[in-house]
Amino acid sequence: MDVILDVEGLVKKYERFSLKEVSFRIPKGYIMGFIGRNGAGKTTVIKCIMDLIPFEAGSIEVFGLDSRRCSDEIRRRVGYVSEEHYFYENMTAGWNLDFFGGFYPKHDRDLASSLMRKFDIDPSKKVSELSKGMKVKLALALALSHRPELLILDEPTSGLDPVIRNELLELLMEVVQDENCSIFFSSHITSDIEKIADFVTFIEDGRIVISDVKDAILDKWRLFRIDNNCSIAGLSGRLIGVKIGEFGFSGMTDDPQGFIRELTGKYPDARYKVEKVSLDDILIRIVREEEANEG
Amino acid sequence: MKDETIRLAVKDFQIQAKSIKSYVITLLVFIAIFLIMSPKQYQMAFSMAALVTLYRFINSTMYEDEKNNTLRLIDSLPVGRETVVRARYLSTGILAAVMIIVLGAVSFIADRTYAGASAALTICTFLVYIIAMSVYMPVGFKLGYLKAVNINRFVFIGIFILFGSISMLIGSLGTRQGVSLTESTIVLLDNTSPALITAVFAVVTLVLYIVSMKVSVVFYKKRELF
Repeated sequence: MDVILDVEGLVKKYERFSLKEVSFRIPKGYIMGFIGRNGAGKTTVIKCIMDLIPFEAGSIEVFGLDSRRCSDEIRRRVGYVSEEHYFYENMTAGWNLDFFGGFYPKHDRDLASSLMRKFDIDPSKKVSELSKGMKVKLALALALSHRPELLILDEPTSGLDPVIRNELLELLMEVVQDENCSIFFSSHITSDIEKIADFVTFIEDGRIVISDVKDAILDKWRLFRIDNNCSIAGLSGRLIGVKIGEFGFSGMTDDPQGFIRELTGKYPDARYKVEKVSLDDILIRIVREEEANEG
Repeated sequence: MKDETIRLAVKDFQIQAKSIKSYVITLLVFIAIFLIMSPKQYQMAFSMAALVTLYRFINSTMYEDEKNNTLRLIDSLPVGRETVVRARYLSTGILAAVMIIVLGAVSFIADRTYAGASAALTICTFLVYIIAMSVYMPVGFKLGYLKAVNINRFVFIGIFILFGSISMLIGSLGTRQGVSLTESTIVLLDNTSPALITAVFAVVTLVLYIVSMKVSVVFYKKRELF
């Protein structure tokens, strides 16, 4: 399988935060969702990939090219939508698309115009008059107008209402099907990623916690709810994000069979429930685990 | 020159298209004030007004980029930071050249008698413009508009005073008889070939401009936009 983005051992240090040997890869033609709560390091990783900020160690290859040495070549082939949308607010949407798009050698004005029509953007409207949703669409039109091979989107659905979010997600799926484009898509809204991603990478406190095929993650991970006739203290620590309540405790594991063997071996009368998990559950439990470790 | 440089330079004018009316009004108001204060100093009046317009132009382009955070978007495009700097020098240089051409034409039409003094003043004005821009822009590229504007206000006031003093000196000396410095300056300029004057002027301008641009590139490459 061709790899379109390969991040290996990425380290970036700030005074109060650092990326700790971040590694993951995206195969060509797939969508990867990049999940983490606010401040987990998603935007920092993306800025390193785009060579917008320097990093201390590790390597990033996009299309097999070094991100630092070949950043112009990479940027020509990547469509990037940042978390905030920066346009000349007093100029029209059409002017902005034409101006910024013109820096891409493969910028297609006809495609840009058709994307504006498709996204219902009035090219004669000033950017300052556009809603947040329309600005996201304008940024997406800009990112798509040069037919990128990789689309990097930093929290594109953040702050949008559910209808617009859904519309955007459908657009992204169309892009992958029609344009043979890969997508790297960060968000803290896990339901969006659950809808469209093929691969999922979780980041927490600058560290990659899980990176795998989405369906494999959802198949593997299970939530256990165990009655209080058992004690968590007697178990080996397979569960993460453990929550202790009045009637027992709950936690999540990626080895449900192993945990059941251990639990029933130690507590033959154990009463427990096994539930499927969503990406949201995983994120919450990962964050809880991290906080418990810090505490 | 790269297409990207021209595209960025043209953008500096496009985003200010609606301010042109305000620039012209400011120019006329300045000229009127100076003419009322000193009717014979029309050249100085125009020069001052042109300098103010140029200052407003640079400020305005930097302000638009900072206010809209568009430098961040430009930084994510396949455009080197060096190109961004070059484009700003190009657009500002074009405006300065236009101002000088107009000033030269006004001086030539209005005061043929003192052609030497007019030429001296025009050259002096252009050099002051270049010095002003060469000081202003590296500070802007290093610190960004919001911080740079406060520092540059003082720099420009200093240059403004210096420029005014030089202009007044040349103007007043040029109208008096028997002052050897002015006479010799006028004679020197009158007797020097225009090609030589242009060459000297071009070299000085170019050196100053290139040094300033190189410094700006170094500053801007190191600046953290994110």
